[in-house]
Amino acid sequence: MTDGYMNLHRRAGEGAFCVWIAINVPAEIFSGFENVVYAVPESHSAMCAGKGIGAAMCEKAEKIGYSMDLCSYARIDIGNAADGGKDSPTFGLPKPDLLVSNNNNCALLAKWFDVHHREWSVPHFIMDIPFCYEPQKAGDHDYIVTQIHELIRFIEDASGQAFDVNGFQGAVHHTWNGIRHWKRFLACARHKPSPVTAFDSFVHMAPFLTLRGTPELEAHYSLLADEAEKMMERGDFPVPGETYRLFWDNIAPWHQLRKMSGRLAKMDTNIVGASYTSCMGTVEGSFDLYNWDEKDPFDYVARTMNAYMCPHGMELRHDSMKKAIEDLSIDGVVFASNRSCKPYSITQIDQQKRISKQLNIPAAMIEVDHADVRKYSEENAFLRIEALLERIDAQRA
Amino acid sequence: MDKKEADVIRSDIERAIIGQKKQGKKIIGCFPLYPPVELFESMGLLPLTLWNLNASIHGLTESDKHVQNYSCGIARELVQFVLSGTGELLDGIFSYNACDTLRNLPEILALGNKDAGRNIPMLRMHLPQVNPSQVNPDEYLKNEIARLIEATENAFGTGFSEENFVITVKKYRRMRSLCLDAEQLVARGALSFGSFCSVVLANYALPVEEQIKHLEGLIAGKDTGNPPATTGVMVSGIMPPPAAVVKAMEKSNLCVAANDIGSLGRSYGYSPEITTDPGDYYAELFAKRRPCTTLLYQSDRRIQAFLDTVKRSRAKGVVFSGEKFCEYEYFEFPYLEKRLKEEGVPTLFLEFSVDDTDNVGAYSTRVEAFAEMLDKTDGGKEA
Repeated sequence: MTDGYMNLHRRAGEGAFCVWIAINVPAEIFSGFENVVYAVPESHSAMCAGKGIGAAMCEKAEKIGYSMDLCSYARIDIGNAADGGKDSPTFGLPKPDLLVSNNNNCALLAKWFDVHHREWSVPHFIMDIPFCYEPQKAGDHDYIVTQIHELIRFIEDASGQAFDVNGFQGAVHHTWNGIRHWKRFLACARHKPSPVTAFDSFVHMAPFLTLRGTPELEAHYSLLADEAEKMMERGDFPVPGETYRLFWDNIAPWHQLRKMSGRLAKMDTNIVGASYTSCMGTVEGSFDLYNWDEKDPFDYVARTMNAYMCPHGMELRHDSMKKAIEDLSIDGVVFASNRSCKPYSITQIDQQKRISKQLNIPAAMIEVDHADVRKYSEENAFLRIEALLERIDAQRA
Repeated sequence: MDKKEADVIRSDIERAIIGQKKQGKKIIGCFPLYPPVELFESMGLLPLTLWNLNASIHGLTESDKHVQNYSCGIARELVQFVLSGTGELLDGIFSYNACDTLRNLPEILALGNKDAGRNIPMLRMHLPQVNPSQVNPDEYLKNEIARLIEATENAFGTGFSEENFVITVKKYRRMRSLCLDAEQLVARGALSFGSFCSVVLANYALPVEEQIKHLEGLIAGKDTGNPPATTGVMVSGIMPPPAAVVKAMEKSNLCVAANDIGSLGRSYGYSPEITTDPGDYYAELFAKRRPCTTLLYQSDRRIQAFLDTVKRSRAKGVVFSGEKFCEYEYFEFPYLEKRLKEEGVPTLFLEFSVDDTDNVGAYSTRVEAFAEMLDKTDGGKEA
């Protein structure tokens, strides 16, 4: 990851055309160009939060007028940009030549990127991906493919570089192969006890965002899956006394990864799966790998444009989670009600009731903010988690 | 219709709906702000835009069972309205993609209604949000309109007719034109902004013919002569400030020289050319309507249009009415304030949440202080 960021700065400094993207913009496109690099502000914000400087960066944005109620990823990024990347663990991000947002994960991302668009007079390309209440419709798929082609044309015009579909095709294959290894890694969680935790998956999802379409991504996930399988073989488990297997719904609490995982481990509790990372490489209504025929790369990226949770309505999420809960032998679900992510959180109250009732499985809702530690109370959260564990015990009895 | 009558309607939309149903109308609740009302009304339905519902709901107990309290008041009120008793009166619900909160509401409403034994058809449409200079949205939008027509016909046993569509479009043009006339009277100080808001918002619960009648009544007899001495301001937000705050503004001699309010000016500010083709009609309407923060592709045009409106209306200041948790608005406020500062236009930022409709003391003080500042400094410039 460090190499990735330093390479990004180096190439941008040497004149590469730099694009800032939302996480589900198909970054493989950029591999079809000679000299285009990309940065993912959301991922950078998550890293800042993980390094413990999220709140400080949020404050920088708040000082220039951005409400504390706005997404903490956005506040970190805006604060970082306003301060020239001063406190960033990656020296910030190189200034973009183009912004590409995408509204299916969250529509506010387009408003967020508008902030930079206006401040720096940088073009902003909006990808409009219809929200899915049911699986992606053929008409929507075609609409997305059209936009991908228009985006490529836009980059050609703006960068003066020609697009090479072979580069793009190769990149999509790297992503496809990488995702297959990712699924192999996640599948290890079926083992009891699990050799992996959701916290591992939170950390290791980063390459999927910032190194998409690269051989490094493929290699990383292959190594990750191999290592997880070896850990299983030698009986090396992060929570050896695993008594409670939980499932996490929402974005990772980046500022709590070590603390939360450690405290849970002491309680013999392992969050073995998470909707946030299970959805990578999938399509609506399931966490199963989308079975690509490896033919048309445009078809693949358009079809998997919704490979996240937020673009899906409640029914689709329910179907995905239900299967994962059964597959992973989950004892209880933690719904993390995330103040900074309304698309993820808004349906959780109803979802919690349905999952609990239909699967006869205890669930608890805790309050978090994925990147602003000021909106998180550890004791409050663990009070509810402990109560959840007690309910699991009572159910077992 | 005067303010008092309008407020009665707004405080009891259920009664207004019952009145319409007695006349055989089928009511389709719509959100967010810009549903294809002409289309629905031409097909014999009464579209009820589910916005500004605070006067008509009592508490949020039903909503709180479904939606977190860090959702905006609009969403919480909407859920409360639909899933409480009044929702039983709806014959259908229509939604299109808007913000991240509202796009998740259709399923919450469908599930809530199902649990309550109510089987209400849910209609949906995806409104393209691409920048038209980057991707042409027209074909996609026209397909969506065609799909919506078919879905509406199937759900309600009604049919689309080009003739009825044109008749309804003409009525909505008349209604919007009257809104603009009334807006000008407000700007001249000849009509209270409070009365104007009440009537326009009450109209959301009524068929377009009645809306026209009420607007004509509102305008009739208003003094269009020399305006009273007031200080003109522009008001901007997704909803108007609460009535009590508007009253405080008027008491401080502030008159609304222009409004950039989602449920007011942004809604009625543009009428497309009359056409028999609803696809063409809505393609033009969404491309050219007064810019709104909820329409992602309009952001560039919005900033310039906003500044032009301030200039054209000669507003001495701008009052931002912030609906807490409305991300779309809040991402733009800082930039607009910055640009206005550069132009020497003072701003006042007021934030309202769902519980703030009565707590006006603090707001009144700030409004009064703002008005005094505008008077003393002749807008942003020293007198």
